Amino acid sequence: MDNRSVDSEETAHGRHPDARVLARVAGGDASALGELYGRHSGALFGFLYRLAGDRGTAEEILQDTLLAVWRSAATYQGRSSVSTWLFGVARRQAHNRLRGIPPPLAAEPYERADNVPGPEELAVGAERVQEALARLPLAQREVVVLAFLNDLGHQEIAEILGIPVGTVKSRLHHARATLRGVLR
Amino acid sequence: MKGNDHVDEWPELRGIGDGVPAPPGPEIVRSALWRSALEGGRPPAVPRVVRVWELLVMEARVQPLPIWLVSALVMATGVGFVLAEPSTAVSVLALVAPLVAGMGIAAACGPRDGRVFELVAVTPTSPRVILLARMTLVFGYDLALGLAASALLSLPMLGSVADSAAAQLVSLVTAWLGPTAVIAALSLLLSVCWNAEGAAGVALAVWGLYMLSLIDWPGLSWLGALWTTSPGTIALALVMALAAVVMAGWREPIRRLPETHRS
Repeated sequence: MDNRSVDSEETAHGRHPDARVLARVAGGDASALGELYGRHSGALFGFLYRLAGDRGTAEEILQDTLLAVWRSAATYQGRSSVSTWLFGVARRQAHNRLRGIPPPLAAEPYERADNVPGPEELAVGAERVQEALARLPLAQREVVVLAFLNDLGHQEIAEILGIPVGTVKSRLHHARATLRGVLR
Repeated sequence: MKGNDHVDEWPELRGIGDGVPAPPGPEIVRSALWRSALEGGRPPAVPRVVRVWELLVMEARVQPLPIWLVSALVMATGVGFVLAEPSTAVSVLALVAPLVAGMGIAAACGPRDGRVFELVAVTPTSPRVILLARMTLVFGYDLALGLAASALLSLPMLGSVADSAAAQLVSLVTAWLGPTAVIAALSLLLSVCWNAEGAAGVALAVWGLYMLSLIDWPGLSWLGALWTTSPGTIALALVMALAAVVMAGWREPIRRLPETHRS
C-alpha cells in the first residue's frame, strides 16, 4: 500500500528506478510492465478498491489501467513522479468505468461507537467507511481516498487530478461535511 | 507523515485502510497484454528504425525461397554469359536486371501459402506498409544483385572493356537501372490493380518487345527511350510505384482473391 520506500529509492545515476522501468515499458518490454505493477500494485489497487467499492470492478479498472500504461508509457515526460503519473492514469480509467453510476440510496445514519473497536468491529468499521465513501460524489471520493488511504499531500493530489491545491482543500471540506451527515 | 491530513482528525474515516483486499497477482498483467494484442491500438513506442527493421525481417521470412534463388540464378547466368563475351556486358545486364526485377516483384505479390495469407490478413499493419516493406525487400535485393554483377564485371581481370573500372561500373549501372525501375514499378502497379500473373505477363511482354526492338523490329523504336536511365524513366517508375502504394489501401493486393470486395 505504501510506496514511499519506492519513492525514496534513488540510483547512482540520479534517475528514479521507476522511470527506468517505465522507459522499458515504453520500449515494449512486457516484463517491465510486470515489474512496475509489482512496485505499485498495492497502492493502485487500494485506491481503486475504495473508489469502486467492490473487488470485481476495482480489478477491471486496474486491468484498464495496465492496458493504458502499456499503450501510453512513451507519453510520460518526467514532469511528475511515476507514481503520480500512474495514479493519474488509474483515476482516468476509474472515471471511464464509474462515470454515470449513481450513488447508493440514502440509508439510516450510522451510530458511532464510542468504545475501542475489536477485530469484528474493525471489519464492520471498514464496511461502514466503504458505504460512506460510496455516498460521496466521485470527485470528492477520489480526493478523500488519495489523502487518507494513500497518504498523499495536497500538492500531489492536485497534480494527479490536474486541479489547483485550493480545489483539493475545498473538496475535502465538502467531503467531510457529507461524511459527518452520514455517520451522525 | 507525507500527507497533509491524518485519519485521526477524521473519525468518519477510521478503518479506511482496513479490509482492503490484496491486489491481484501478476496474471492481471498478462490479461492486460493479451487484451492489448487482441484489441490492437497503439503499440508501445519502439524506435522507428527498429520497427522498420523488424518489419523487413518478418517480411523476409514469409517470402518464398525461390524468389531469391531464381533471381540470383538468372543474374548469375547473365554474368556467366558476359564473362564468355565481355563486349556484351551492357546489353546483357540491360536485359537481365529488368527481367529479374519484374518477375521478382510479381512473384512477391503472387499466390502464396494460405497460412501466410491468414497471417497477413490479421496483422494490424496496414496493407500499404506491408506492400512497401515487401517491395523494399525484393527491389532492394534485385538492385543489390545488379550492383554486384556490375561491380564484378567491372574488374579489369574479368575482361572489362572500358578504360577504367569506375567508367565501366557507371556504364553498366546506367544500362540497367532505369529500365529495371520502370519494369519493377509496372509489375507492382499491375499486381496491385489486377493480379500478379497478369503483371508478370505484361512485364514479360514489354521485355520481349524490347528484345524485338534490338533487331530493328518496325514500330518499336520508342522502347529505346524506356530502356535508359534518365530523369524521365526514373520519374515514370516513381509515379507508377506511388500509384501502386495508393491503390494498395483501396484494394487487397496481399490476398489471393478480393474476397471482401465482392458480394
